[in-house]
Amino acid sequence: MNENQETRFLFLSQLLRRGVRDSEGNFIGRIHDLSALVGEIYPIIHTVLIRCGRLRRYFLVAQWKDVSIPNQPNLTEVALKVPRSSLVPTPVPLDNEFFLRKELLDNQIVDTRGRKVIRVNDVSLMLTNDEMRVVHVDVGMRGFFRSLGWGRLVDWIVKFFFPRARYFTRDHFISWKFVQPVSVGSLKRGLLKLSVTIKKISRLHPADLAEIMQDLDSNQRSALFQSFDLETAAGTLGESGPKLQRSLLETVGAEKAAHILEEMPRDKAADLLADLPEEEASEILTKMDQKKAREVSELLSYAEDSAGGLMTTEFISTAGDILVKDMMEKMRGELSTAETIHYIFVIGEGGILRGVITLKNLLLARPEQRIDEIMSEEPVSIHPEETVTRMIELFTKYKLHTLPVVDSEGRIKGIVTMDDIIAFAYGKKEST
Amino acid sequence: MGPGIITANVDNDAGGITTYSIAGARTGYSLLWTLIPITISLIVIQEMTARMAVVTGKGLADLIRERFGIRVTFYVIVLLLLANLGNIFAEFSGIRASTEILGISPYITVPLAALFVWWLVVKGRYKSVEKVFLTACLFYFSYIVSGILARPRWDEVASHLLSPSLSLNRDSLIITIGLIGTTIAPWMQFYQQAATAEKGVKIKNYSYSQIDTVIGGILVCVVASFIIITCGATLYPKGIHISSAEEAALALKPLAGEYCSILFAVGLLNASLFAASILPLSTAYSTCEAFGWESGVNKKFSSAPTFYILYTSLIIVGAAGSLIPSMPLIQVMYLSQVVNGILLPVILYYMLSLINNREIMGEYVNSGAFNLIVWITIISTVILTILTIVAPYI
Repeated sequence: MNENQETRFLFLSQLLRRGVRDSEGNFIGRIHDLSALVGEIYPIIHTVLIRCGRLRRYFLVAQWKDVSIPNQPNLTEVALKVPRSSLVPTPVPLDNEFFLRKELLDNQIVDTRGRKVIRVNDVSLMLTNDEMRVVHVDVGMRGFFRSLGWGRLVDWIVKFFFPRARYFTRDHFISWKFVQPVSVGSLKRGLLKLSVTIKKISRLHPADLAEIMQDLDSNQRSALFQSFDLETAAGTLGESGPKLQRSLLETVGAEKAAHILEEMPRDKAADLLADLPEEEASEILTKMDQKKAREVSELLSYAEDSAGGLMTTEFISTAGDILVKDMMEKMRGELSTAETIHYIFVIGEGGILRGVITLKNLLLARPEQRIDEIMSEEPVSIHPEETVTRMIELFTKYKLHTLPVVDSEGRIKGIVTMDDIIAFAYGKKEST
Repeated sequence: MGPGIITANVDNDAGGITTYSIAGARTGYSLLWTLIPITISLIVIQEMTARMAVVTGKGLADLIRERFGIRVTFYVIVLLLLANLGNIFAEFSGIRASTEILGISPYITVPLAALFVWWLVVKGRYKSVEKVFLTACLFYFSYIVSGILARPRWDEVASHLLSPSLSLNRDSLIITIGLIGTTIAPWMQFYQQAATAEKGVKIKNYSYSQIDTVIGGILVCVVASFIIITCGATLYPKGIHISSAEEAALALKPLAGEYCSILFAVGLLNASLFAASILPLSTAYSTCEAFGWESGVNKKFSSAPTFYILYTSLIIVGAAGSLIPSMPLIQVMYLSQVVNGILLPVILYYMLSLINNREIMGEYVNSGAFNLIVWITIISTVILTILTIVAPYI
């Protein structure tokens, strides 16, 4: 058992191109690449790829456990604990194996903490006894110069002119915990690897995901999008512009697209379908769950800038004769899908809107009161065909936040919220 | 308008017009034949960039960085920056030369032009002006008309077009490199690939990109040949060697008589402004793409500082350089294209390496014929460069 628990940090740029000697002192070649296994928090280095030969180049692979790195500041050579004869030519890579130089260094990754796409200039490795792990990627200027081979020269120059420069302390490292690789060499293998690491990126806000998708190229985008679970895919789609939406949907079939759309709020799904060519839209609709497809179709029948076009059908409603205390229980069930919980709409027979209660009033009421005792009757509402201008008038006049959309018979069809109007107005402004 | 056609029109920039004019004026029709292999090369090379863009979805700088690492990328980008700076220099020299013909002080027009170009791109108004630029490219028809009006001996033209001959004197060699460099400029590969990747062209629609590229190439060939023919018919017999833009304008005399200078000036101004709006931008984009810096005219300065600084500096240096009082404008416009030609083999070498890599391109790797054409281009350019250096000593 090796008692010597020394831990050292190395950079990939310090290891690449270094010479390799075997256990008998023969020079074999130069380090071309390292492979690591994903799946743990910090991937563990698995093999070293050695480039041999001068005129006819070929590769040999050494297991990491057979490699020993001398403890010198200027690394020139690396030694193997085995003779050359025990090295093998490159095997087929494992499913969860990735290559640092080929797939990580100089490639793009998603920084899930900074929420952007960024290029890797160097990789920081932690060496402890027999194991080496990938701990950080270096995306900063120092890594840039170090990889160029000018690390020390630039350090010296900067130190000469600006001794206290933040250049030295502000190393721009991103911990592997926040790194989402997106480089897809061959798509099939890429997808496998992505699904192992995808959890990190799925936790980002959909708006950030949509922006990140914009910064990736089409292959990376399609690989990443295909690895998302339905919920993440739906969220991302909802926050993307029409062009991005179309390009993302093209990477999954109509079947999967239908399932993704089922996870989206109905109004967003309707907006998305409205921007697609008719045959594509109908194909997706037919593959969707019937009830949801019907709701979406109904929304599609309204003009884009009318109340009907902007409304959503996910709101909390109740009959008037329920008691306040029973209402709380009921709400819990509907909370997860409702667009807004601030207003609860009270519906009578045939879906006719009778009144509205604010959440505040509900909480202030006594548990034994009936809903229709505390509601505000005849709330302000708007017809599905009404325009955005009219909606803004009503919002401002009555200082509302949510407006129920009611048809000519008084039946509530959906709600329009303030942020829908803002998003719409902003969208119009951007396109002019 | 596809990226191919736009690239082709910008290809005929200040440097282009000057180099083709000089070729015609100093060597007559004898270098006309080079345009055929050059155009074939051009179409092949630009098709390669479009193909790489469609298959990988990435720009050229991107691919070079990912495949060859940071060192190679650094040196390639430095070369590109130098070549493009020369080209931008040439564009502003073109602006200065054309406004001097029109009698306006360049100290007013050049800064104004720089400001205009900068504002145009940064404020995102480029697209609306692009149509104006493209329409004004109709100017090149005046070379066609003038060429016909000058009544060249068409049998002479045809025979020179079809029979290669290369004299080993230094001037001819340099002009030939310039012809290659101005027609197949390195910035074109970076620009067309980035523009095509940005458009998100799908593989199934790829044939449109191909047609776009071919049309662009033919356009370049036609315009270039007519400039050479016209100058060969009007200037060469009179021994006018083009040491100033005024002399270059005389080529249009058959068409425009006394107004030839004005016609030429307007055309040159348009070509220079057009190119000046594209080149600095493309250079800044390629550099940031390669080094992973934020870029984009839709980003605020604080989010993409290096991009804006680079872009602005390129314009300022180019404009300021052209204003140096005794700057030999024609020489600048002409020699910058020679630099393009010298740097071209480097870029082509890396492009070949990328496009023949099955891992990157899948089934869309280069055919043997294409590889051959590119290798011939590389070798010819290198040999020409070497010959130019040793020619005085032979």
